Amino acid sequence: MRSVHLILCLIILAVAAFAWIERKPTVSQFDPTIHEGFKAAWAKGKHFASNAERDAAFRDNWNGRVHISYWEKWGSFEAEACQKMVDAFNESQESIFVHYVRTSQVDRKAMLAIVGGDPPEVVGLWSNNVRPFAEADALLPLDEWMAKSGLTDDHYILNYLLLCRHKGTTFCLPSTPATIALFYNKDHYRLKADKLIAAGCDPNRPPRTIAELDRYADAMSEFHPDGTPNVMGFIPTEPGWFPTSWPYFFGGALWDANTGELTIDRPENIRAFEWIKSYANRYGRQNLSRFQQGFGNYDSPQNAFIDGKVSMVLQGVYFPAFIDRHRPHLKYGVAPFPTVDGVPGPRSLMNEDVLGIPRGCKHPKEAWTFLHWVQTQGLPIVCRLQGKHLPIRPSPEDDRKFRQGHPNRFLDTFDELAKAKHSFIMPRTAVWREYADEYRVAFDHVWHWAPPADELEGLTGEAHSKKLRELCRREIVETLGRMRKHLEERQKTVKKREAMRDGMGAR
Amino acid sequence: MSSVGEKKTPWHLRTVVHLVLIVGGLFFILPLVWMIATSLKPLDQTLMRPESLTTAFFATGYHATINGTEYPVTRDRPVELGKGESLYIVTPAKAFAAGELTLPFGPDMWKKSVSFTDEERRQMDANVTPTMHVLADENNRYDPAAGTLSLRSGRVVRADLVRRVTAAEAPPGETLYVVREWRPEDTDTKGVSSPFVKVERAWDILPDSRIRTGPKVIPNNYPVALRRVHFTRSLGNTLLLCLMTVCGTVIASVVVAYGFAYLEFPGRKALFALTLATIMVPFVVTMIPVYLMYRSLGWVGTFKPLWVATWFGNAFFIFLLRQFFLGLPKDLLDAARIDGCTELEILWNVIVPLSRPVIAMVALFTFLGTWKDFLGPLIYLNHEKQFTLSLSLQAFASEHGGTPWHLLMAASTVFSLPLIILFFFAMKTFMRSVATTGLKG
Amino acid sequence: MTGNLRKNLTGYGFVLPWLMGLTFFIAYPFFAAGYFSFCDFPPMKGPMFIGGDNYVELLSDPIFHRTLGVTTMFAAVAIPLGVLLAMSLALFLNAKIHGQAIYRVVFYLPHLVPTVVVAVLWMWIFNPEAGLLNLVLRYLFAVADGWTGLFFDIDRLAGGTGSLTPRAGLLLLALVPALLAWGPLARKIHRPESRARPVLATVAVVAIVLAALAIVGALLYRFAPGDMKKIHSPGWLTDGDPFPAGVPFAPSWALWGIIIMSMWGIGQMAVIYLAKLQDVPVELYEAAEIDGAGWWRKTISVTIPMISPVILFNVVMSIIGAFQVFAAPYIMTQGGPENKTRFVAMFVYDQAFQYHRVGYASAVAAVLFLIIVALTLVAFRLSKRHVHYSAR
Repeated sequence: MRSVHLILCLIILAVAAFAWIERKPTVSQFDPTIHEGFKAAWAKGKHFASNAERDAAFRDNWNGRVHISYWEKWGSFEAEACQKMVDAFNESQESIFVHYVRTSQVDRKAMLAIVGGDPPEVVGLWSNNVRPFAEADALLPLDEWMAKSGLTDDHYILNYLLLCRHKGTTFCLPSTPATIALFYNKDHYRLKADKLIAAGCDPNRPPRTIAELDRYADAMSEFHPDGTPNVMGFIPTEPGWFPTSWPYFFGGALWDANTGELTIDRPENIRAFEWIKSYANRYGRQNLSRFQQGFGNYDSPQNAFIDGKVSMVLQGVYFPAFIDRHRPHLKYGVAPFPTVDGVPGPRSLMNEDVLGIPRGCKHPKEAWTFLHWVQTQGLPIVCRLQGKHLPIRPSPEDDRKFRQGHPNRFLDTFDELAKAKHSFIMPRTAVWREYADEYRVAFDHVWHWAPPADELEGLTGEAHSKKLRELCRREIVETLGRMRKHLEERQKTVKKREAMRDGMGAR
Repeated sequence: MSSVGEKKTPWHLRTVVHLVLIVGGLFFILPLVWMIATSLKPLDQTLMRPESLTTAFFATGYHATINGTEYPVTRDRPVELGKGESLYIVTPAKAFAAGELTLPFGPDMWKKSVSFTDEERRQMDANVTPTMHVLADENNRYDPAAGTLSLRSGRVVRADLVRRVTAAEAPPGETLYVVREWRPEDTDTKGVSSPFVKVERAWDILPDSRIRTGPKVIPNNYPVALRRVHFTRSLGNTLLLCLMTVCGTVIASVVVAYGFAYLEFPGRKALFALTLATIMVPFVVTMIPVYLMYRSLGWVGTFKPLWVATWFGNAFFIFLLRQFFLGLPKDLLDAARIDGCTELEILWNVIVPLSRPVIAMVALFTFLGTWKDFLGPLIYLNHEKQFTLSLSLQAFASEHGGTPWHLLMAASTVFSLPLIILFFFAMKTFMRSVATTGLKG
Repeated sequence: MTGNLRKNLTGYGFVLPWLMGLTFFIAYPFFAAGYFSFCDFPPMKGPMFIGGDNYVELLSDPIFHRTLGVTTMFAAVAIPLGVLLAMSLALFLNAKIHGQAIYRVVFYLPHLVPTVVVAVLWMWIFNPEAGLLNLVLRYLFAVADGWTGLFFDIDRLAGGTGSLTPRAGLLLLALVPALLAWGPLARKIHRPESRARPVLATVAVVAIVLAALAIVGALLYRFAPGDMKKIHSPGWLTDGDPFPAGVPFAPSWALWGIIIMSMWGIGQMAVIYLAKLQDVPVELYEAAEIDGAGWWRKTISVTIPMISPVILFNVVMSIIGAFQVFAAPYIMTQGGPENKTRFVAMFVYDQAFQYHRVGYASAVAAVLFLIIVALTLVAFRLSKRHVHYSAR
């Protein structure tokens, strides 16, 4: 062999060796910084001052444990709450160590990692991710494990478990739940009592029907001399996080649970959209959008409700924690959101964060051990520290312990809403992602739609409003009708493809 | 504007050309200058609308003497006092928690609230001691007659007056500012505005004339930015990748081009034409099946997808090298063959030394391509530990909580520097590479 | 025979890496992508053949149409503009003046900046409040408005009521040097070989350009006041409105931002043109001069045809490049205000990696490929008439 050939072979061998050696990075790369006095800190406050301390606490049996990673979405104090739960798990046993990894856009990154074949062991998603992930076969079904560990349906508030199921199989388990309700500013009620009484409203209680809500909102709204809002009583788009809930407060529904039909254009839904549009028409869409531009987000002292710019909002169980952060002495109340006259209540949207085990992860059994522990002992820790209610039905003793000193003053209201007969979850249909996307587009379209000027030419006063309502109603019916046709087509395609795939599988 | 002939371009045309080139050159160079200028500024000055060209490019640094010591300071905010209005600088008689200055509620509320992180709590709990000065303004009012300070939290504490500030303190035409000691670590966007830090530092209220201005550069932006981007780690990853791809591309392309140029085998012409055709196949078309192929091999999440393919050759460089080889004198080859060398030896001993410039160009182009590559690492690298410089920079740019332009620009400058330095060292190779590509026709 | 076999084997041996690469990384994926485009393929399950359904869906997908539109608009503006600018730049860089080395370096530098840095840097430059571009525009328009304001009443023009003022008449003075240089008196005033004449010609050109600027400014204020107001401080990447407003198929401000950013990188193309320019045989120019050609004629008839192969190469590569633009919009706008900067490559990436619809993404990629091939063939067909390959 000539030298050149030799060199070439050596190079190729070296490269092949390098390719062979290179491995995906694993979680359990230990950071050997030893911190004195960590045990004292742990005993005192049951928390670690730094990741170094945390690692040091488990140094002794670090290598004997199976290390798994848990990707979760939260930031700020919610992340610390979850970390405390993870710490409690790691402390409670010696065979598994869970690495809590704070991940932005967790659903996107998780899907990428799962498809790429390199996923974490536990991933924290949102309940509206369950269906797409299940359809894509990205999560492991949990029914067998649940049966073996004795986790039955009656451990849960049923709707929260149903959210985790797709076509009868459980793909996730609940993490922290959410229900929504009406938050109302008691100071505003007190200060504007005379205006409320003049409008026929009772300043000592929040509205109970949508018609009352409109009257309250109108009475409490203040305007600048030029007509722009100063303080608004209520705006459907503030914060506008639950657009798919409005039809339900009108007695409608987005689908028929029995037949699976997508009932987007039921008369009640149309009335809900009309009601939303009436706010845009009454106060002026541009006025409202300029008004809303100055608001901060939910974690800011300039949030519309926290800052007293809007007197009533539809918000969730997590919101009191954020009010506590910026204005804890704000005098506000929480009540079930009003429904239309004749529609039974109280009712609320139920959604949640969920935990799943990705397909293709390295340690599914250990992931399940952690998941099981969370369902029985972890949830009270994290739900309490995040100020939320529970998705499970604990024993009376555990329930008392959970409620005692719970940071959320309105825990009972939200808990009752979670267990209420008429509370609802989003349609469990395979095309839910498209449904939600199209719904948002339809909502925006209706909100921003302006009727052609010539149709309203020359009309004033009562005739003008009547014609405007008519035109808006026609547009809403058309939009929703179009949406329904499109979704039904999509549903048919999905069913067809499923049948084909099942046929393939049977062969 | 022609370049031919012995005639010198007349002076007026020359001026026009210079003018055009200078103006055009500004478009090309100004962004880079802007990048460097921003990288040396503190964040608050980056976000302001620049009032003039000087403030756009140069940060203003302030210095002031507070309590006898000179500090670099920042101007927190201007103080507007009407006639008869005054602010007070006080010291508390007893210590209290710093959070009481900025939060509209007291320690009893934040102690039992779950809504704060541990770090936030630490900052809020830190004590404002009697040695520190507190600004009594509309949020924390001081009653000089009673000697009490009404904290924002609602509590009233006793405080001693240090100084009363009125509009008279500002000479006519000047504004009063709250100035505060500025430390280099402030340039890191996290943890600057904590209430405790604000009182712990040296601060005062001074008029313009007692604040000395001067240009300020903050080289500290660079270490901070590089830390946030995990520079050493990312640089290592990028260099490793570059090394593997350059070696692979060069070795494979040279070998294959030699085969196309000097060796005969059936189907050579057709294969070469096919090679040319593949240059036109866009990456987007093959991206997904290639990804799926790597996935089934289990290589997603490692570096392998980014360099293994280069060890099989690159169509464009194979073409280039073959054209070059064909232009070399044939007799050298024949002589070597007669001497009984194997083809590989001929390649190594004869062709390669003659082709050094072109090979250098291939290496350079590949290095550039891998250094800049973004889509590849985006798809295949999932763990932060493996990120290349491109990915780290992009991850840094898309972090939550406002973009720290000054740090981002500092990281960008450092990221671009190696290539520019390389350019100046290898300028001839660059320019020649350009010429050869142009000759392709 | 063994000798021949050995020769062939050696040949294949040398080419083997490339053969393998071709098979695994180009041929197989190419045909696989084609097959996937006819399948429904969620990445965790396998591909399932569904015929042309994906293509049918493509035809009615409004977002896909939007991405095609965006990419085409970008290509239609950026490619000609780029070629024009790069060529003009090359011509200027070719002039025999001092300091060309420095100029060439300056113009080439931006090409060396990594793509991510370019995206991040220009994202910062386009910042409407504190960015460099709006700062420069402010100064530029201060000067331009001042100049136009000398001759016209801008506010009244913008309001729609303005008309010519007496001061506008001053603009006619710009014609004086032109008359002196080229007018009917010119031949009488100047001796041939006179030094003054070319100088006057240059002055005339400058004066006319300045006058034209004022007139154009006035016209713009009169007929497009909204655009003029906007252009003083555009929102750039956050603005989805088309510019010029009212022109059909006009790119949005955000897309203009990406176009301007891609103009920043034409230095490399300019240097390639420059290299080719310098290869043009001197005899051709001399022959042209003998035939009495001025510099404009020389450029049109000699320079451009001689560098046309490079122009073709540039255009073809740019077309392919436009359909692969990914990093810049991904980092700067993530698809932009209302999908107005969503390029096709981003759409494929989204469909494959975010919505996990590999089949659909492959169909899009296939359509892309066909479009690129079609455009390239068109470019080559057109080139047969216009591109001149020198005999070598």
